[in-house]
Amino acid sequence: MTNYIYRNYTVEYLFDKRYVFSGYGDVTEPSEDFDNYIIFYQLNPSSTPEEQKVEIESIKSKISYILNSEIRERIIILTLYREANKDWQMKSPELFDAINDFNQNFLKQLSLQYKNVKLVDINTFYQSQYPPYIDWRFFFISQMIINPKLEKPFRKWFEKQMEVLDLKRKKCIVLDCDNTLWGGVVGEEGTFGIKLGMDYPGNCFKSFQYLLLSLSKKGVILTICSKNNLKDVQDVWENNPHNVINDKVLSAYRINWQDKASNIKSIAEELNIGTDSFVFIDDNPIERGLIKELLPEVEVPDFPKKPYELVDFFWQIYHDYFAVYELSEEDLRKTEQYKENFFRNESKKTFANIDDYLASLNIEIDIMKANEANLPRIAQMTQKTNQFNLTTKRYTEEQLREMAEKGANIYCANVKDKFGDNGITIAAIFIENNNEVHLDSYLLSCRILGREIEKVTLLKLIEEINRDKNKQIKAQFIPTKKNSIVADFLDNIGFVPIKTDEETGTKHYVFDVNKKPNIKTFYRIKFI
Amino acid sequence: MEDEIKMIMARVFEMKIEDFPAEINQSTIDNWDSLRHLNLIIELEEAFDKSFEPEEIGEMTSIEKIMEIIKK
Repeated sequence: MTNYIYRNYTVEYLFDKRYVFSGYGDVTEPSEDFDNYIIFYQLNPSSTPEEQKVEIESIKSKISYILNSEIRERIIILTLYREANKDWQMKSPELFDAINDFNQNFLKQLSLQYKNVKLVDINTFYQSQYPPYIDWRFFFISQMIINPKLEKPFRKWFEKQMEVLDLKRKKCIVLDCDNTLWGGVVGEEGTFGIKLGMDYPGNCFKSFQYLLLSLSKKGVILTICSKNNLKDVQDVWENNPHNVINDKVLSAYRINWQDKASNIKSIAEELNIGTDSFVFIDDNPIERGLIKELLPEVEVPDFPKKPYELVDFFWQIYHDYFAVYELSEEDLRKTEQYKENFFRNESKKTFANIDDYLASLNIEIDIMKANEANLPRIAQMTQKTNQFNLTTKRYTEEQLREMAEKGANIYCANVKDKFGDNGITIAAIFIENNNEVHLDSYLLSCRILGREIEKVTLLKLIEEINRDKNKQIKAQFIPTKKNSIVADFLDNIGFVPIKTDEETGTKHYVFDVNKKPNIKTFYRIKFI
Repeated sequence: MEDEIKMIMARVFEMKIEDFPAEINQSTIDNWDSLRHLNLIIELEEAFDKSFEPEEIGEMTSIEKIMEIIKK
């Protein structure tokens, strides 16, 4: 493979001997033929933003000239490096905008016009590097456009980009379950005991699962090979709402106690793809060692030690094995449609008032009774919520379970809107006796405040609790140093104060059924 | 230190240490061109944990001068 590089700065030190270089800024066609032509033009980082904008225009004309020549082989164009901090104003950074325009419009247009043109974004290279991008000493001595200390990472990165252009992509991921797709061992800790959900470390595994799910929609096959009782894993698939990697998205699975090498071979046969297209992901180094030994053609990346490293781990796997130059037309069409919807929603709307805005959010509140899946979360909310908390009573999971057994009505609610799912962010506890219902606790996570969700949810709950009963509803506000934001909350939704304890400041209320508080209608609230 | 510098030079200039002339400077070594000069500087910075000033880089054209500047 021979390569010719059109360049305007010193870049020789970044490439090995298979590359031949043009003179600085020389656009003439080389006399011999090469397999790849690489256009590596960059801006002079020491010149003024205005000068650099002029340089962009000159680079455009150079590139157009090269493309108009008779080169039929592959032409790889590197984008311009983009530095945000050397520009005049924040609102419209002219140079930054001009570079973006070059990278995103000019080059994209060329790659559509010329089928042999491929783009490589240099900005993906520098993202995870630590020494400065430019070492000014070497730039001013000899026009080295990238810090020579970055030579090795640059080579590795560039090789990777070339492989991506050559479509060397793996096809299939084989996943383990325990401590890979979730924290803990499902056989011991059970469907709801495994760590998977809204809190650390379960939120790491949840993110990992969603990234994998999203990857599967980009044409990568997901499979599971784990040593578990099939029934335990199927119970997670059916009942744990946070688990999204299940039989609906898996193309094959082997959940048994046989050795993983035979299982992977049998998956390969079932799916009719070679084991050299497989990437094996397992937290257990012994299993990884076994696969490396018995199936050396399978890629076996090291698994991260800490759950919070899973997101980086995912993207490392993506870039190492599944990066793709362009998605198929089918995929692109999907992306386009999605984009159109997004713009329809975003750009055509202007809001006359806050209600219009709230109505546009499509807020959905799903209220559910406490169960084994959400009890840990409710207990945790009572422990952690300080601000929007009427009584600040702290409960453990066990206490809540016991209260429920004695007849307390414990509810929680999941709140989502068009921007995403906030998860379980509301909890309420009602204790009933002969002729009254007492609101023991009511609390909300601060991330959903400011949308009147706190009001409609409690009113909906009171309506549900009091249906056909007509009992008196009592409530308290117990002041603490941190919960002043709820001091007037009960007054605002139709409760009437009956007395205040002198010593503690606790205010006692009773709900006035005749008061009709003004409730907005654009929330979708349902009991599930 | 001299031996270590020679080893680095041998690698950068793609030569054997035995083939070095008695006087080691830019005019006695053909492969010591301007690009390899910078490669040499980068390797020296790494090996001796130094960061040379541009003026120094321009002066470091003989092994004596290189040692003098590293010792600074």
